[in-house]
Amino acid sequence: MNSSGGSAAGPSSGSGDGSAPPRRNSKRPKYSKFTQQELPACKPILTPKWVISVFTLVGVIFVPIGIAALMASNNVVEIVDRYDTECIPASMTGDKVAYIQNDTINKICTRNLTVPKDMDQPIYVYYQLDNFYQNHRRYVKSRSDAQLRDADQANKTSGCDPEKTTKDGSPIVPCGLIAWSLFNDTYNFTLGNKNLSVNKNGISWASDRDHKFGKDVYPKNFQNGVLRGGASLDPNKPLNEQEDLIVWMRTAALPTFRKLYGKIHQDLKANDIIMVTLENNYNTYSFNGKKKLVLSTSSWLGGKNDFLGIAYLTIGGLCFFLATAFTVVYLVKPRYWVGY
Amino acid sequence: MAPGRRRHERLRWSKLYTFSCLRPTVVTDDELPHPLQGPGYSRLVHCNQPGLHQKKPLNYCTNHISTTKYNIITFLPKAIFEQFRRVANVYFLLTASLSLTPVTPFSAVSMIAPLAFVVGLSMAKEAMEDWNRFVQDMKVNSRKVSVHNGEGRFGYKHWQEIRVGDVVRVEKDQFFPADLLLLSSSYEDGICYVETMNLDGETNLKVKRSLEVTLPLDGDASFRHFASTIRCEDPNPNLYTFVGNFECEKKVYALDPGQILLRDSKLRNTTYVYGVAIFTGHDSKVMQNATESPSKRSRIEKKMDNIIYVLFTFLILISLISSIGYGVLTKFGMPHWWYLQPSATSYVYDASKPVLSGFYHLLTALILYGYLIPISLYVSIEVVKVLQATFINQDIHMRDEDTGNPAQARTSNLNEELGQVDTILSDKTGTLTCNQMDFLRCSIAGVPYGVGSSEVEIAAVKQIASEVSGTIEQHSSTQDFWEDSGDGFGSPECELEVGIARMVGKPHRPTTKGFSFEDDRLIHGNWAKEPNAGTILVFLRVLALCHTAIAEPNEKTGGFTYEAESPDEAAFLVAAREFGFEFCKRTQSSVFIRERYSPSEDPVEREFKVLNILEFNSKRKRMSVILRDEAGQIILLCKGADRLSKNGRTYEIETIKHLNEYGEAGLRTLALAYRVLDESEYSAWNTEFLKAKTTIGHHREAELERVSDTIERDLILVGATAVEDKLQKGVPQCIDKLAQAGLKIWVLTGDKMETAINIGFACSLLRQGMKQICLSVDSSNILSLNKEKAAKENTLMQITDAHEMVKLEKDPNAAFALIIDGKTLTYALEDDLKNQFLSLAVNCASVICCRVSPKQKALVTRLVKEGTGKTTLAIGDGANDVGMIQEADIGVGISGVEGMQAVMASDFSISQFRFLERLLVVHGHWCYKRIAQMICYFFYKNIAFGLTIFYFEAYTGFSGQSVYDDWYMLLFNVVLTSLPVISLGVFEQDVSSEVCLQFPALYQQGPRNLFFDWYRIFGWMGNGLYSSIAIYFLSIQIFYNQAFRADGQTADMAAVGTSMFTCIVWTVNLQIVLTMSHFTWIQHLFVWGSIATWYLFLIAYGMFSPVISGNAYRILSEALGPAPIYWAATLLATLSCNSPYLVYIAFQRALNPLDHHVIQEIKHYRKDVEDQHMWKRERSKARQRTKIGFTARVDAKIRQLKRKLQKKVSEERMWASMATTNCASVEAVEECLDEEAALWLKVAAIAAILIAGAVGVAIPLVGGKGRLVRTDGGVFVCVKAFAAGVVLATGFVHMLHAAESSLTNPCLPDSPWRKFPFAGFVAMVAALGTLVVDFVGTQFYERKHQEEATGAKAAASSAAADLEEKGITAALLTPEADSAGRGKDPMHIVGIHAHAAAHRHSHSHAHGACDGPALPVRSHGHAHEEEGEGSSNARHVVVSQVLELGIVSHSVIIGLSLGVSQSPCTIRPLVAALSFHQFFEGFALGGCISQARFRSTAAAMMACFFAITTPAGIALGAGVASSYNPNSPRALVMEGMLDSMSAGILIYMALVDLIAADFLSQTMSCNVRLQVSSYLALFLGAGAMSALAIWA
Repeated sequence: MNSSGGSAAGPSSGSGDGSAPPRRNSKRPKYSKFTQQELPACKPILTPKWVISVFTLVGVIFVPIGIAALMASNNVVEIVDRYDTECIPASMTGDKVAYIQNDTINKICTRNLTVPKDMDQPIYVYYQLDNFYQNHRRYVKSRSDAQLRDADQANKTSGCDPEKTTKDGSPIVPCGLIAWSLFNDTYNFTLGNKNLSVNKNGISWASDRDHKFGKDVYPKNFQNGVLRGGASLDPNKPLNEQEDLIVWMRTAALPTFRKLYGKIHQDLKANDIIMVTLENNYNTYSFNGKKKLVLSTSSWLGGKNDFLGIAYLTIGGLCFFLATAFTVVYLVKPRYWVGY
Repeated sequence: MAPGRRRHERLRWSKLYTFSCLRPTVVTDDELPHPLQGPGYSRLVHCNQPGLHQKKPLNYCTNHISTTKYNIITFLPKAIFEQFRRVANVYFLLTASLSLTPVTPFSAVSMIAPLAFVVGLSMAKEAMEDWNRFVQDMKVNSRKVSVHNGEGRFGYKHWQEIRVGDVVRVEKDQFFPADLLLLSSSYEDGICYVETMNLDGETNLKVKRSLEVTLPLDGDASFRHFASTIRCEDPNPNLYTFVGNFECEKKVYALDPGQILLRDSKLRNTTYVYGVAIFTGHDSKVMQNATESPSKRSRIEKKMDNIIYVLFTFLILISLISSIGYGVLTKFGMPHWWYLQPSATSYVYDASKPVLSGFYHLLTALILYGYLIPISLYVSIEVVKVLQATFINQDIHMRDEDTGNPAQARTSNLNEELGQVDTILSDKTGTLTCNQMDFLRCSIAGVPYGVGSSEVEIAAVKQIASEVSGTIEQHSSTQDFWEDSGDGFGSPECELEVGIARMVGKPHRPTTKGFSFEDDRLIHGNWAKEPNAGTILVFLRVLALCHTAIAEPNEKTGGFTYEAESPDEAAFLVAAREFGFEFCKRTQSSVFIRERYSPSEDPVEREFKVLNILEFNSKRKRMSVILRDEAGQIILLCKGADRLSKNGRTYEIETIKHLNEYGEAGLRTLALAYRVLDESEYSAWNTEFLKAKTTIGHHREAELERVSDTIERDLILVGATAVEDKLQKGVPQCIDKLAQAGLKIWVLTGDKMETAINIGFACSLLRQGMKQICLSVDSSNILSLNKEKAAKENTLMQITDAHEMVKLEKDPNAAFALIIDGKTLTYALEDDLKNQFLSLAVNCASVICCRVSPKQKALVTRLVKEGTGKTTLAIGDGANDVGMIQEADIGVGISGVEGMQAVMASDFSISQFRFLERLLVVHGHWCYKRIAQMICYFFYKNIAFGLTIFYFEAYTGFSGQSVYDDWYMLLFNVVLTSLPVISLGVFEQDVSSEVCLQFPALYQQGPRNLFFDWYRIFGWMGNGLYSSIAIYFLSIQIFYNQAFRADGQTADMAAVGTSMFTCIVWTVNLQIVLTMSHFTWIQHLFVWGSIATWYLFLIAYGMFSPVISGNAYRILSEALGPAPIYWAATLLATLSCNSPYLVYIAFQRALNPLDHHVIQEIKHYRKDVEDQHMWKRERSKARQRTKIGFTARVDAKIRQLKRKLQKKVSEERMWASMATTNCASVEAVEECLDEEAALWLKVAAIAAILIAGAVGVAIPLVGGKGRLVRTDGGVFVCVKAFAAGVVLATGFVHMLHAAESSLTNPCLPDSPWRKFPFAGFVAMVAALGTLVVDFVGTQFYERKHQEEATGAKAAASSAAADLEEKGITAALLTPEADSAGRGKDPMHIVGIHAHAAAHRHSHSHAHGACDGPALPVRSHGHAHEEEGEGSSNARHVVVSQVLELGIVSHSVIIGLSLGVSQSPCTIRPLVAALSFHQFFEGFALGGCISQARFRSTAAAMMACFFAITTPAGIALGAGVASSYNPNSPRALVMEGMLDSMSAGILIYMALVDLIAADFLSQTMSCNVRLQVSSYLALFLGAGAMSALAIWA
């Protein structure tokens, strides 16, 4: 009787493929923590301790940074002088554009700047333009990096519309609107009767000079067209020495921007009066742009800008407040099972 | 196999079989072969001459099948076409192609590369899937079968090599490789058994038989010279028809479906068959039948589409903004921007055509802001889902140890849907039960035998035991009980095993499959000692003889293997053998059994000659055999359904009783009977039977049935059998868990109602004390003529009655079970009844549908899916479940015993029902949350990134310049943020799988959609918006225009862009860290790796030639890296962007934690280990309230006991308890809770009420200003009267009543609140207080006014005089002008007279004069007005301010009460009512304000204040809705007090300052028409406002 056990029931329609099970068992996958989603994991959760300490920590870090940043900003001495309105002869104020476009008028203009506080060298000289869309797509695209870098690629002017070639088809170097509209006001500083020399070396990025603007690339056909843009370039100086151009070619992000003009390696005392002789050549009148001359020292954070410090202080303070608030919340409403 | 090896077994079944094996011999005259002409009948097959099928008209397709979508050539075009059927991809393609034109803001490669990547990846997935299909096909195609090679030799060939006309030999248990014509079989008369489960899901075997003419072809050699032709129909999908002719040796024979063996069915119980292939490959019927399974999309994905639409709208909006901005700037700015050379522009920048340029820019903007719609979202989701599916496939816990079948996600796009299931529709057989029969009990001669317990009974007993223990323990401590049950569920298997061992007990012999019978009275030959031994003998013989099975000697064991048509039959034979009646042989004419009366005796082999077999069919529900025994006696043995017993005699009553008992215990029953026939009767019947058998035509069946019925009469009942339909392992536990997870379970079965109910009890879907609603229409009882209609009406009536019953049920714990049979379901599913049926079914805890057809299963599924709008899951194992599986949102197939049809149609396959728990509760839950969070995060990060581009636009004159390098943008989605989000989607676990299983209620987060509701989505989008703003403006401010390093350089666009982008990379990656709660090394690697990649990229990119990297050349190493400000900006922006989210989640955790938060914390603090008590309590709480499942049973029992206990104790405390129940019941009143709908309604309410209020208050104000409604005209007086009525009614009807009801709420303590009528009292006090305020305020204003007036007069006396003169002149010019002041002077009567006298101006000069209507005050000169109106104006100021105070405090309360309601049913009418309410009140208030002549700003402020209070109240209410309990004492007292106070204020104001002032004034008494209309308006206003109280 025993012998028939286990095999008796007919392979009724239900029992399936009898040989299958043992064969399939060999397919048994190996256990692995990965496939079973059981990898060791850390499961941090926001416990009161964490929340409070995170906010406190942020506060503790941010407030000193904020104070440091504010102090740095405060130590920067900055002289800003807007001269575009002042440097127009009174007779021409009605038609500024005509004034600036008229080459025959002498554009020399003199400004006196008072140093408010002691300024340690180096003192950076900037020009600041307003309402100048250096970030306009048409403008930004209008350049050719290949051409700037390599004398052999002077013909690569594809993106440079409309300052691509001269009328006879020879390529303009450097091509494009950016180069074409190079800033051309000049500044000369005198302190008392002593000339303050402006050092224009090293105002651009070293990498730009070394790798982006070629040593053997000389301006060609530049500013020869009907429309004259900004400054002309010395055709005998390679591009990598034309630092004004290199600085200018770094297009600014915002319509209000400063660009480095040069450095003055001389300390200035408070109440010194600097006389600036400037040539007001650049046309910002067409588009109602302002022109400012900026003299500024720098700190480890750069120029004068209180925003960073204030923002740090605000966030830091807010974090302290939140830490306190959460402390109160957790005291008032602890998790109900605490204490069991 | 040698031909004819088993010739001894060849049986001519046709001699025995009644119905199906009747052979229409050679074609007779009246049945001519089918003419087979015309289209559709063109197929010609040359049997055994496959070579002839190589030329054109006969060159049929090969047997190679391919289910792939593509081949190597078509893949590219087809797959690309598939990809671009997605709208999103078309958009991306469009942008990519636009990027080749000058309008593009990016380089073309940055647009095309991601698209190519995404499309490529999707296509790779397609290719993978198709490859898998190809491999599958190859497997099938390369199966081997023995084929005739010519010369009588057979050799094995691959399936795909079979050609039409080939003769193949198929052996037992093999599948047929193509549609074959059966030529001959191992049986002499050419029959064979076929299992067609893969085709139609029917499990019983079907008999096929060959033509007589081909019978001699029964050996390999005989095919040497065989040749014939077949003409037949063309390939078609119809499984049950076949028309064709077989031509052999010039004779023509008709073919019918009975000779056709269909591909994919299986040869059973037959050693081998020969057949010739007719249809091969895709021509075969099964391939013709294959349908594409419907493609399903998950709910989340559908919602995601909506989000995409929202974003797309937004995208178009901001694109429009920027293109308009661009157009404007181009037109007005461009000509001045000489540095752009505006004279030499192309069309994109043309200042002379700003509209055209703007249009081009729109295209640019659409591309530029395309980051809002993340291209990578689709591909990430695909990747994540595939990986999730892999995890499901790999899960060891969902692997069946016995078969080794793992769970399989067959489609990966429904993973997250698993987490949102609301209703499960389950098949019974094969899903809940094993479809394995065990012979368990029997009743012979009225005596019940068998003590073994079925699993059903074991489960029941165990549960009862637990219930008892539970109730004992629950008195001492409830926790202990939960512990027990909890632990029990921790190891359900072991408990069940123990249970079985205990109940079945001491197995004294190895148990036999199919036989669990235990009763010593019958086994081992003991039955012979029983009193009714004779009957028992007959009973056992019926078991052993009445069947159609075949015995096969089993070499290994020496016993027999039975091949039976159904599992029951096999169980009977095994039982008979165990009892000593071993069926051992069947020959052509006889059945041999070995009878052994006692263990010691040798068995006697007896031969019974089989005279007739009357087969089982579903109409008769019985089968019989007619035998001649060794003594020559003719006996008829019969087994059948219960109805059989109606014919019985002696043991009828007892047997019926036992049948019912067995039925209740969940067993399948059959009654057995016999009858002795005398020779003459039999031969008379047999002639008739033979005649019926040879009848040709469709009457045959009916005829046979009739004849069979005549002989199956006067049967003697001997007993009944009970066979258990075994439950699958772990089913009750799984159902319990699913019920606790809040899922509803419906069972749809083809079984009869009793069986279904029994299984219901076994699975705890039903329990004692549950009210069962059985819907069934017994049409035989209906006498009406129109049976259909009557039955339908009957159904409707039953549904309505049941519905009433459910509705009237007060006990919240009462549970209903709906049981409905297939016939009734036919009516209930009709269009006009189905909604009522559904609403009834939804209200029932469990629903069981019995005797349903596969189609009905699908219909029910559709009804539930579409009717409730919730996610349905259908689970089944057989082909009859395919419809339901395809219809449901998710189809789950059981890859168990029955065929693969269900699995092929399903979206997921598991091998046992119990794995469903893990599939849903663990994988479903995880996948849902993962996908939901992932999508939300995706939108967040793309908004955060994309919008910064938009802001920057505004600073570039909308020119379309991006601040970021093209490469940054390209990398953002592809590299820098893709892996962390994928790791979130693949690896995130809120809690571990064990916790998921321990806390099934966590599952409800899915069906409630807590993680993908609009709150969340918009919250995430808001977070993205905030981050974008923060990052952009912080960066802009920090890098403004000053030097950013000590060396004095200023930041150019590359520096600003890079710094900003660094902030974004940090922010979004830190955000995902905050989102994730589970960090393995993978997440760490991905997140921190992504950030590191960014810096690495910057360095690497900076090292490329500047021609490639442009201004980003050496940006990190030279420019930004050494600048502290860069790092400071990153830190600042990152932290300020992430801290709001951090605050949010910290607060949420602290104040309003979700379930998983609490569990995470408990786990984190290891409380579950330290504090077992608390852990258990949490676990017991974390169950969804449910009425089904084992736990619910226990709960019900506990409640029952508690109730008893309570009854005794609580007589005297009745009042108190009633009070508490009242209070509780108020809370439970909100029936139709639907937070999302409520939220939308609230938003609508805010808008509606805001508008209504604003309009209401604005009409009088604007009207007064714009002279549409003159402030003192008759119309205005009426309007004011109307407003007064409104205010009065508000005070009396709305507020006083509301105050009363809140202050007498049963939830407030008796003392003092119900001891004293506080509402009235407070109202009175408030009224008195108003009086004081009124007086003091008026005085104050007057004094102030006087001072001002004198000052002003002194200053401008001449001007004033001038004006006054002019005014008077003007007044003189108009005759009525002198009476002008009158209308404005009503206060003289009621209030403060004295002050009027103080004014020298004489607007009282017209007092007493009734002539002339009041003129607009404005017609007076300015000075006149100022002077004259001074005093009354002060009054008006006070009146309007006090009125505002009263109304506003009320408005807040009603707004609040609407806001906190979560039920759309209560909110809907409230919105309408409150809108009107607000409109009227606004009107009233507006009137007063306009009279008070505030400065327009002040007036506007007051109006606005009024208009926003109610909406603000609603918003506040909605905000606190979850935590605010309107029945808390504090809330009640607050509400009551505020309401009664404002009631007092309003009543005073209405009566004194509005009604009395106007109605008792001079004007009124003088003008009858005005009087009448004012009164009418007053009553109208009061009436209208009062009527509103009906709804609000």
